[in-house]
Amino acid sequence: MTVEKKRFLFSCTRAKPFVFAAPAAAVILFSFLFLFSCETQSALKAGTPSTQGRTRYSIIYVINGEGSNLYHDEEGRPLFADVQMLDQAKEIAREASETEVFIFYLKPAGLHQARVKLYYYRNPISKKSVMRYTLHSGRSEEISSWLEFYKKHSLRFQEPGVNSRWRSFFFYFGHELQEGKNPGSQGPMHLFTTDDLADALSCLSADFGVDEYGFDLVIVSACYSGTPGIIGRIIPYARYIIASPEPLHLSHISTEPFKNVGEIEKKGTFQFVMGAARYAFERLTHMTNTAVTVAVYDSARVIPYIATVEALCMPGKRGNYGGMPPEKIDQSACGPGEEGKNFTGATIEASGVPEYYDCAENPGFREDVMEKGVTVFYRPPLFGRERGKTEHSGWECIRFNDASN
Amino acid sequence: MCKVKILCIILLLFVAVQPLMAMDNSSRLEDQFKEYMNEIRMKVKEIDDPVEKRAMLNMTLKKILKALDTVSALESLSEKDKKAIASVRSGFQDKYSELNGLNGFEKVADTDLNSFADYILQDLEQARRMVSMSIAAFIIIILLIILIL
Repeated sequence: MTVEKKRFLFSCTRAKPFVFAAPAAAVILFSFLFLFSCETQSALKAGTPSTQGRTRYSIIYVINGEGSNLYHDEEGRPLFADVQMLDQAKEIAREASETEVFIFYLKPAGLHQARVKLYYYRNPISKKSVMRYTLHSGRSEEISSWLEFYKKHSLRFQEPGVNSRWRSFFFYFGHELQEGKNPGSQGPMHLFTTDDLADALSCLSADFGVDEYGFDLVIVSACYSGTPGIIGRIIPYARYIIASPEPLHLSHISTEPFKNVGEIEKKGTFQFVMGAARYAFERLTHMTNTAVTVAVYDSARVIPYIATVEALCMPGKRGNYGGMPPEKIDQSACGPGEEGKNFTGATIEASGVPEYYDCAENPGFREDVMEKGVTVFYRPPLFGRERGKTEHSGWECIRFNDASN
Repeated sequence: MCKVKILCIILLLFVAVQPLMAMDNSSRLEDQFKEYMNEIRMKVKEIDDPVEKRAMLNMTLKKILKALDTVSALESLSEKDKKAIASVRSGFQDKYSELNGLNGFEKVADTDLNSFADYILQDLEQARRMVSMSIAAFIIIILLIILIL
């Protein structure tokens, strides 16, 4: 299990010269802009003026290109979800002021390999660095490489004493998350599992050194991401979570509102998050005829009962489900991994065909308790068995039709 | 005789797809299936006559159901695969029933056939693991559906 660092590239972004009446002034200004906007490895290392910007927002995108990402627009044009999200992440990076954006883009490269591309952008000072490497198998070295990349570049770690004014966001895009840890060489590799997600959030939160949640918002844009198991794993690290309890179309939860992330200061975190969720919901309902369920989880209000709803949904099962308390994992997992060793986290042992259903259908579900702190934007499918359904609890339960039965 | 022919095709497919038993190859086949379904959707939208629209959707859904039946009849499949296929089949059967107003479904109105064609495609284009079955079974299903279509 090795991670080969193929190359480390720093691209140079040429600033546009402004037009002035006096040509000499233009030349001087151009030279000045060129000098300070051009990114180089030495600039990053030396802590030149480019690291003293007023960046206050740190957005991390994880885009998992695993599986079929093809979908079509209304005119029948093919689009690829991972490419679309990568483009959107870059757009946010270009337009959001006082923001740094990290993009971790994963793409399968064979049965036990993945190509990983890491991007880093900084705004307002144009800065971009890209790192590519090939992941051969296992997960742990991958996460630690990401963390290393993040810590190396993030202004958060280069401006001591300003942690308190930082806001961090973590957005995941991909297919339904594989529960537990990766089977590694024992089976097909999944590029990102619930354990990877929880480990990344946990390790980063620990490095932020903040008292409360490491992230103001975590978005999990994947089908069935609003299960008690997944929410339970990530809730210790996020003040708010946006997820989709039901199937989610590949056009995904849009992060468009983060172009104006600074509005969070005027609106407040909750209102900004609700606005982002509503925007994503309205866009999806406009684009699709299938069910749309976008849920917002307020961690402080959900944590008191998350273990109960987990136990209700997966009684007797080990793993993410089954009442595992949402406590932080062993921080030793954040270091470089050992050969064949994965991060902590149990593996779901269940067999059979998974069947998802609204937890409210479970006789033990208590609306007065288990819907606290959960806001659900729901539109039923325009066709199918659920077309008449009027609401969703925000929690999706899972049961297995055991194949042995 | 027909069953023997189908089994022979499947056997050949098994041999042919052995080197392709990788996740990314199943994704490519899934993409191909989505492209086929998108073509059907666009054709349905181009047709003016609702009877023809409905006939085209019916024909497509019947072929998919037939392919799924063919694969699930294979004795070599595990019970888990068979249950997973049954789950997928149930989804397509529901769509067929709704299109024709069967099994308690309200029949899709003539004016809603374009939206229904969108719905069928979009239901395939979800960010979920396609099915909880072995990759081999999944690849055979997709290949058969593509061949039959």
